Amino acid sequence: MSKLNPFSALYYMKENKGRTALLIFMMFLGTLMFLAGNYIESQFYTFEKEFEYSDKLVVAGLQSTDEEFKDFAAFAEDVSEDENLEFVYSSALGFSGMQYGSVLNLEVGGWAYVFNSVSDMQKVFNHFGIEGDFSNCKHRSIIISKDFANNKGLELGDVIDHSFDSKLDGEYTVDAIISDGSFCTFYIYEDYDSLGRLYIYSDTMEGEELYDYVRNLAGDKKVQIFASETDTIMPQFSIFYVIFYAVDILIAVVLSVTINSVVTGQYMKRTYEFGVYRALGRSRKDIKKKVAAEIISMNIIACIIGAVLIFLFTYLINELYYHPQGLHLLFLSEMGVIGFVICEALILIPLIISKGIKMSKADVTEF
Amino acid sequence: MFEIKNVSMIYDMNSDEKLYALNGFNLTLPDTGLVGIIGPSGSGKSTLMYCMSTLKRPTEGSIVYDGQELTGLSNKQRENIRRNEFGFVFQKHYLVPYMTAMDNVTVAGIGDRKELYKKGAEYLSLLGLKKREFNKRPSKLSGGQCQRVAIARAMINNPRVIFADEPTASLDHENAFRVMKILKKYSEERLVIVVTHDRSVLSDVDIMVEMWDGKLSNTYMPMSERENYE
Repeated sequence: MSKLNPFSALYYMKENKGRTALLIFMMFLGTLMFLAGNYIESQFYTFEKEFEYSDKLVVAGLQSTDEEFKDFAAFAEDVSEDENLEFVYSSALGFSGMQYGSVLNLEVGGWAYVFNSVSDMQKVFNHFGIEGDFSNCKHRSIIISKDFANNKGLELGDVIDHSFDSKLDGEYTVDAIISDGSFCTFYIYEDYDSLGRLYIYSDTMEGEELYDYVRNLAGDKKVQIFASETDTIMPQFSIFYVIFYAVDILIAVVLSVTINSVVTGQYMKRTYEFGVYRALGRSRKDIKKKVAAEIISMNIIACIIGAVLIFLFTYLINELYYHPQGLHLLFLSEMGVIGFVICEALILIPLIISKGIKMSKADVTEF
Repeated sequence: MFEIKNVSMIYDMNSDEKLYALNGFNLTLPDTGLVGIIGPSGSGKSTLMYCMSTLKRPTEGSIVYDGQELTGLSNKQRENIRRNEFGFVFQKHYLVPYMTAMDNVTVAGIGDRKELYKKGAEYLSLLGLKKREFNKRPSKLSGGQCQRVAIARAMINNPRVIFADEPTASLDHENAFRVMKILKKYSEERLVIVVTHDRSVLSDVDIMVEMWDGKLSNTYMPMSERENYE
């Protein structure tokens, strides 16, 4: 006696391994949208720490209209008297963050923090939760993360010259490597002549709350409160989302049409089988459920195979390629999940509905 | 069992030349017995069988089965009747090619699967199949064996009526005779309706129904005529 019910989806799949394997392979292709989404969202991964630090620290600077720096000085006074806020001064010279190669092989520039002294840097690092050995740090030191160093092929003691950024004069040395995972460049530059920026932070506030508090404190003073990294960068990334989802839908439509034509061929050969089921008294609902169960079962197997292969691929490519560069391909991402769901829905829903309706109408009297 | 009154099946209703597959057909059938429906190709025999078995709805008229009007039933009710009361044997066996003989029989069954397998084995044995053939697929069985598996499938739920549409058309004489013998045996306690254009297979029918051009041309009991003759 067969252990499986002959009317069941599993019975069909067991007895038709070749056809099932072909369909599972085609459905597996749909799961690759999950990998594609992870790949795209990995681009944002390197900005994670940058966004976190930006939420914890507000940068305020001179406005060019504040010709005598009166408003900036008054604002600095207000900040120093406010018991909810801490701050350090920073140079008005806007140093750039070093560029690095991202997951998408794009050259991306990270954020730069410029500290007037090692002690200022350590105050801010304490607030950020960054630890390390800063005993070698001094004027013209650069501090970067291990991941950043790997990405740039830099080591402790390496010298970086001003050709990287025209605002840098002279040479800078990599004097500390930290393990925070960020792609920010931290400079120590002693500049007592043009201290035109404040790095403002708080033990009790961060994010929108901190930014609103500082803006309120600034009031009408001619002080520039820099927007957070999240507000600046994320809108630029929206184009990635749009392109990805548009491509996802396009691929889903192509896959849907291809899979549909293969499945149609397979089900057309079974029209008389379903006609017989109808003649034997199986309801249209039973037929539709059987068709749906067959397609969904194959899809579940395809997704499981896809998940295992994608996990293995991601693990290997991280170990062999991305991690040595300080980068990381995500195992799971929101974009990956949404891309996968959209693709699967566009493939499965029309397939189940169209084949279910078609087979439930199979009529043995017309053979 | 069946009361068929003024049943017509009209195709191309909107055209000037309507096609009558059945034309004002009337017939009454008992609860048991072997009924042969015979006529030339295009006489409406299969259409009549499809209407009686709820596979098609007639355009006009009424078909009463066991006191129940079939033409007004919903699709769900018709499916229930086919599942619980009727069995089908088709001209081509229409066995599912990827299922074994046993699974082809039990896929039509209702109830506990162990019981179905027991019954299926019983019917297949009764129909002359050996145990080692139960797990063979239709491609490994002969035409006659396939048709016998189809009969077992039709009988698995002990239906009150079996409809057999040209059940011997693709069989040699010996297998055709064997199949008719099985159906005859079943008809001792149930109604079996055989549709065919081959008079030679209907030698043992209890009621003969002759059709022509969608109409009943004659109906008689061949056995009682033979008794009268004898």
